[in-house]
Amino acid sequence: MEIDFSKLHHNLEDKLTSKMLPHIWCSGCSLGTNLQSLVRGATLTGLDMDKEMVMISGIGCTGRASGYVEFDGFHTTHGRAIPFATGVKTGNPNLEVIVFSGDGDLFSIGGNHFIHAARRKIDLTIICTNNSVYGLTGGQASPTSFEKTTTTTTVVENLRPFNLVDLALGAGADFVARYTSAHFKILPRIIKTAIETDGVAFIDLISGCPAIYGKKNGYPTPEYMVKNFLEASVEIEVKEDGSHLLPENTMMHFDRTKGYTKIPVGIFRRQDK
Amino acid sequence: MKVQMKKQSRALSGRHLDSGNIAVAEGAIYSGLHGYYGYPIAPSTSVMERIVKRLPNLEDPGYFLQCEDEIASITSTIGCSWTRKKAMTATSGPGFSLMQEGIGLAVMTETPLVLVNVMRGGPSTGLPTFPGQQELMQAHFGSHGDYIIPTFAPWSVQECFDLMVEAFNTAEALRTPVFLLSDQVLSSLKEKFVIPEEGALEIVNRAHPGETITWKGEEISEEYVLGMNCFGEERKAFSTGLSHDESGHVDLSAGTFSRMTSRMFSKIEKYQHLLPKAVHHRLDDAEIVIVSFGSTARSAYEAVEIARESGKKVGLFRLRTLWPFPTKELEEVTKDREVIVVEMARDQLTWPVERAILRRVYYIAYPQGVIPPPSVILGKIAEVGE
Repeated sequence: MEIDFSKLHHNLEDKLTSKMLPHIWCSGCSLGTNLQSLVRGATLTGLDMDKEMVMISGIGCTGRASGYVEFDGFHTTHGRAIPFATGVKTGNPNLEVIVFSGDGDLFSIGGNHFIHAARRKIDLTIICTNNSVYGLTGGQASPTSFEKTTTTTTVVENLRPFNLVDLALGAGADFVARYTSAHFKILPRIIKTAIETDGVAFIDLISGCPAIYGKKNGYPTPEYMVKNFLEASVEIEVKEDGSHLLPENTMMHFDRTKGYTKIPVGIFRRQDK
Repeated sequence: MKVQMKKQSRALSGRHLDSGNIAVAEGAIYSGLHGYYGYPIAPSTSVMERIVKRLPNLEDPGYFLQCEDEIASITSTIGCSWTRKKAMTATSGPGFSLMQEGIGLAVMTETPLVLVNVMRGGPSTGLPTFPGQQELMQAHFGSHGDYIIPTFAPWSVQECFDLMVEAFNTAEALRTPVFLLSDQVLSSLKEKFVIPEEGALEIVNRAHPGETITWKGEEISEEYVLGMNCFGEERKAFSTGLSHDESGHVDLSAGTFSRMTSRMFSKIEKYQHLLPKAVHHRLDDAEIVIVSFGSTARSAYEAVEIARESGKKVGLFRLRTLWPFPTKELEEVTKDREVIVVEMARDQLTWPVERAILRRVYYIAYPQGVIPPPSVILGKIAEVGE
């Protein structure tokens, strides 16, 4: 069926760059909802997207997001969204700078930049669409691919993945949260809080790639994936002794035949620098 | 008790006795530098040490950041430039190699910035505290893809200052990254230099979309150099390392890509005549032309003076703009004359010289961590004169 895109409407269309649409993402991908949550969250802050906000992305499926929205933006080289954003924030501190990129971009090739950004506390909001796979290059392992997972490059074995919440807490981020793309109802408010945090705010946004990763790793369809995200999510209970921040309590569990079995979600840390 | 620092002026006008790296830093500050992003590496480090003392204490303070590596340094420099602020970084050998990725991004997104490479001996860690001139080719061909970046080379502390101002003006006027290739000798060599009064030198600022700016009395056409829409301004500002159209949005069609890349070359070629000119020394009646640049040219100059005393007709053609290479000018200067290329590298300057004049030349390749002494050059002059 031929779709006439000029006749379709979207309730956020004045915030989208229409000439760049349709986007390149597969149907069922989490990126559509993630981008929508970001735009809604940014709108909630009351700031002007064009004059007061900048959205920086790296390379990969997620990297393309900055071209689709009416934020001022930049699509940098692989892994370099954070250093670029650091330059923007220090060049003009009045801008709210948002880094929107994927797990491979931010934590493999760009991992060093992330820990230094978290240490420095220059005001940035970093949102990681974490789908545990390199989608754009066809399904290779990422630094958050689970053990016993099937990708084109983990035929024999996969070594231990990062727990991004633990990493962000350890590196000193001021705001650390984890939700899934299925939490699109509360995500705008979480994203607003992250943007308003004066310091480094990090959201580990658990996402799915049903087309390439899910079908080999326990969530074959988008419908199953969304259900799986909601069922596996466990809201953390904040304990006074801080034990909810221990790595074993922030770690996700994954089963190659069923998808996620446990996703601790919530706001793990919130402080202004 | 907290000491209140007196706010400093950008132009420390007057006479100074200091090193090339200090002059580089002062040239940048004079030009209106806002953001410096760097990583310590010999022999460039004293540039950042000077900047960090000066930038935060200016009447209009700038921002200094010591980054986690050189990849971050160049990328943050690009980011800062997109807020319509003047930004730079400085590095040496291995750091220049790490920056190649970001250099490509700066070219592709037509980002004005200045990168100072204080050259040392390589490959790899090589000779960290000794001079080299081995990045002449890397400055042109280091990053993947076709591009040309205006590249200047000073030979004195005064020129470290002067060419730094030229570098920022070129970057802003032509919306391009610009290289300054200094070297270890100049980095620590102390000599007299003069900083003019504030406002005495022309300072260029990049054009907004639709605005026409002038540089050295010439109007810069938007047909060649697009006005830059920066973050936080009226319209959506966007760019990408992917092939893109004039608005900055992705367009992978062959037509757009070839239009974009041709314009990027032609804007440099169109205004090549405004870049720092080569210096001719005693070339009028010369039978032998020495071609050189940077601190090596100081030795060549000395050799010319000595050779002249004994009646040998030798002159010096000293390059100040290395890229784009002054092919035509060199052709005219070397017509019917013998040519000796003197460089602290193996066959890097020889290559574009031979290509320009389409014949073999004599050369002194001296990648030994010291400038070739005048005696070596005089030996070659004698050999050629026979």
